[in-house]
Amino acid sequence: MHIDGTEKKWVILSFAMAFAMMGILAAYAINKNIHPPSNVETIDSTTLHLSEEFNEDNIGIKREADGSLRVTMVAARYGFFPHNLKIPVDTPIKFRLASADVLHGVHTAFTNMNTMVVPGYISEVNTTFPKVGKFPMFCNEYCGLGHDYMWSQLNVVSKEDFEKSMKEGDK
Amino acid sequence: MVELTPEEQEAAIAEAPKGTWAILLVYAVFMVLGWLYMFYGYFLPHGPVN
Repeated sequence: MHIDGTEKKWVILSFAMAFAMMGILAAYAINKNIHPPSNVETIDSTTLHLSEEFNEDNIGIKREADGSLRVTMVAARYGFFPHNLKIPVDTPIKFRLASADVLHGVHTAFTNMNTMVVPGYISEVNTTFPKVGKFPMFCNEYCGLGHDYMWSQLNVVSKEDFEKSMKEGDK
Repeated sequence: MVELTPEEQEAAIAEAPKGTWAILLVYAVFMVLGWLYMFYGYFLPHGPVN
């Protein structure tokens, strides 16, 4: 098959660019563990309220025995529970989400947090928020007529303010 | 418009298409710089995800 010389050079250049980009992504995935969230863990969506982790009394932010922070949330038509979250800046946080009904998505605007919340599975995202501020969390998978109103607020505060609120028992 | 002699026309066709190459390289540079900006200037500063 004859390929024109100029076209051949452009094909080589295109592949070189694509491989360079893939190489950078692969390097960050391997060395820094940055990649799309992935977790395969099942749960019965119809009995979330009876499960220990997603029980109404246990959702929200918790400090684990090793000192790390874990946020447990339930997505249900049409809201995220808890509706307001206060979390510290520059701190690794593990989010665990489950759907109580249909397929939902969670996207925190102006951050990299974005995942699907599939009924029957627990979604897990590990991330860090480098900036203080209030960030809206939207459902980004159409879940019904109230989908437009399904959102929550993430309040990223300084570490001092967060510790103060944890001591006061403010979730 | 400048008329080319047949010899000049043949020479122009035979030589490398410099203008085309310039356009391709400009596009390539813009695309690579745009991607690098999105990755290093926008994605990574928003916090690691896994």
